[in-house]
Amino acid sequence: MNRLLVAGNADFLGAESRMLLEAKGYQLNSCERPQDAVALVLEDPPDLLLVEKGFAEGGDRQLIKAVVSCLQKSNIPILLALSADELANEPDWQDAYPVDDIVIKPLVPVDLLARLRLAEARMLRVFDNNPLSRLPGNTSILRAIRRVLAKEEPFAVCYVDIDNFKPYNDRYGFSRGDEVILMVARIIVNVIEELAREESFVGHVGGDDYVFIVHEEKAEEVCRRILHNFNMVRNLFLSAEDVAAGEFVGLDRQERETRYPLLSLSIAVVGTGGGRYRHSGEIATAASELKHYVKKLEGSNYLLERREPDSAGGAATNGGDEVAEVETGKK
Amino acid sequence: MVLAKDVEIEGNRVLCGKGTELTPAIIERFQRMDVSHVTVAGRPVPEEGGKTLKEQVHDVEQRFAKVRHIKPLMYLKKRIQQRLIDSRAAGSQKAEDADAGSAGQEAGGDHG
Amino acid sequence: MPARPAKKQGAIMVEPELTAEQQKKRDNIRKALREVKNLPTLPGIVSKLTRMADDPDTSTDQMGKLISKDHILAAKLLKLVNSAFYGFPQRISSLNSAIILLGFNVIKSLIISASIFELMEEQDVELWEHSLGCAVICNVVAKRLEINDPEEVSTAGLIHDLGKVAIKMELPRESAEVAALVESAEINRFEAEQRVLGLEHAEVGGWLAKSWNLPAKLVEPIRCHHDPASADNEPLVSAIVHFADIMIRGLGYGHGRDIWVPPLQPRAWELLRFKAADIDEILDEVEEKLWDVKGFSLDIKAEAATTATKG
Repeated sequence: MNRLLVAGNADFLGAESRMLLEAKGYQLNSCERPQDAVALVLEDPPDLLLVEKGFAEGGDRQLIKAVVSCLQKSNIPILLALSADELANEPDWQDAYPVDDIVIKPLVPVDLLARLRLAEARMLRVFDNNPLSRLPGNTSILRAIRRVLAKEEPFAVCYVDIDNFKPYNDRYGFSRGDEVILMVARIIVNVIEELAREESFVGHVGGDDYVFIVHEEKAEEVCRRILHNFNMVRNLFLSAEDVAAGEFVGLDRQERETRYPLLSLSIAVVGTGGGRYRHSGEIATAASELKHYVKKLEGSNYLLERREPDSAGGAATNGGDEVAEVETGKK
Repeated sequence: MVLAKDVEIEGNRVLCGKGTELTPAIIERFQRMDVSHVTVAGRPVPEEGGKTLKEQVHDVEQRFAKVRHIKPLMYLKKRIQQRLIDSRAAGSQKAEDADAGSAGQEAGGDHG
Repeated sequence: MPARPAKKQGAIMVEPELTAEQQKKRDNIRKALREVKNLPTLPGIVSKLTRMADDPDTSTDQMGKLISKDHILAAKLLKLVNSAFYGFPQRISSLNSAIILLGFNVIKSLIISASIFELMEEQDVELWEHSLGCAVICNVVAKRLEINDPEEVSTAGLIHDLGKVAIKMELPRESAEVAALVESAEINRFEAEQRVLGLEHAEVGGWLAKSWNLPAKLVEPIRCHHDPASADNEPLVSAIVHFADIMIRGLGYGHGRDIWVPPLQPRAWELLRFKAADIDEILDEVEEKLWDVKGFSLDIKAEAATTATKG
């Protein structure tokens, strides 16, 4: 954990800080052009990043975004170096500068060192992230659901499941299974990032289960795109013969030979609108009933919970003519 | 010029249907919507300063100079040359038709 | 490394056994080419993509469409998604899938970090047209042969000449020698490369693709596009790229002075099993799609011109 990328104007770091850090075992790499820094982040990511605020007119934000927006790098601590004046102007910590810590210019070497060390230690303590996908885990998911329950606007809490995942794992091995888990995680994140970024959330419960939250009116579009993208990519993770056969043969829990359809996704969508739900547990229960139905459908599908009689409700399948509606028993 | 194919934009929406006559206003709209090229009816007319048909056919001949012993490639060459000839012929025919036709065209005429 | 054996009559090239000195030269060049860092692309493409990326209304699809016409950026995306960090080693062989898995932000970062040719030469644009045209034909042929994922084949067709750009970047002097020889001796580029360097761009492309962890479905067609018979795993895809390369040259999209249609390997022809009617129908389909290629390069040149005048 010692490769530090320093991005900013020439020598904002200062010779003293540089000497101290190198003496303490850090390998420093300096970039003055955001273009070079971004290329490094993409192809040879550092362990830590120190960025000078405002360098190269927006280059700092581009760089931060490049680090933060990639799943596999969300554990790179980012330190922002800025002046006391810039700090007084209250940078946007949510959007433009989602950094982990700050250091004030002119840099004080021991201060900088302490901050770097603390940032590293903090990263190690973040236990909630799924080790494979780096997405937030259960605790964060519950918190996120509670957050949207408390809001006025309607949200959709969506549970994604990979169908026939266990037979796939058995047939292709756990390593390939991991790739599929990662693939689905990326698809979900990328689709939401593009179509429904506002106030959204993506979490990974574990194994092949994910939860995402988007504004209710975006839910269908997001589901459709996730399924579409999944279908586009899926065959790369299957052997040519299985794709040609349209199925594969595996062993079920009783060790009997069974034919399994190829990988597909099931999404259960529960809306929070109308004040129907007050507790996250209720949402989970509703979802689990929906899942029961949607997993039975052939291929990849999403299913919306049927709404109250007076509002438009419905469900949809992936290109099939079948439209299924489900009464969850909730009034 | 008349559109030979629908002009589609993002999301498979049809911006302009097949058969529409291109006016300067429509072309400007295309530019604003970042449409880079459209397909119009008719065969390409040789540009001024472009090569003559003879030159083009000769170019093709030259390209295939090193593979004269390979039958499928000789067939390919012949077909490519033939298409060049056909398209020039059709282009000049259309030009003749248009000249002949426009003399007697009224506003209500239907070009089809 | 064993010296390459001489090949029989009827194959593309006949090579003598390499001397120790020639072998050493080859190894040195190979090392230099392995160091190749940021392969440059056309300035017009990067400036257009930058504009698109800055526009909040641009979708990933739209950017993907443009990237699918640029063999360098496409190769970079594939390299990225197949790299160790992303968790899909040697798995992703189609550009569309790479785009889906990487997402908008990563693609935007890639554009930011892309390097460009300082001076865009006519020959450079021709290589882009040639690559794109080859991809187009690969797509038509793959669909015709009812291949499961035709997009994988067109991806291979798009990046098949990667080696040429690497040679130009890492060995500019030799690359110029090669170009001069192509013109004076009126031979194919790969023959000139053999004479000057002792290796050719298909092989180089294969090395690069392999070192970038690309799947065999891409590595082999790149490496074997002049000699599909030497493909162990993907003979059909290699044959398709080989054929598409030939056909696109026949249609006038060669590269620089290398206008010569190369020989069609009998083995490739066997695998494709085409008849005369197939050629006609393929020509029909391809002709229309090739207007896209012309349109694209006009776009790019115009884009570069606008950027140039803006300064």
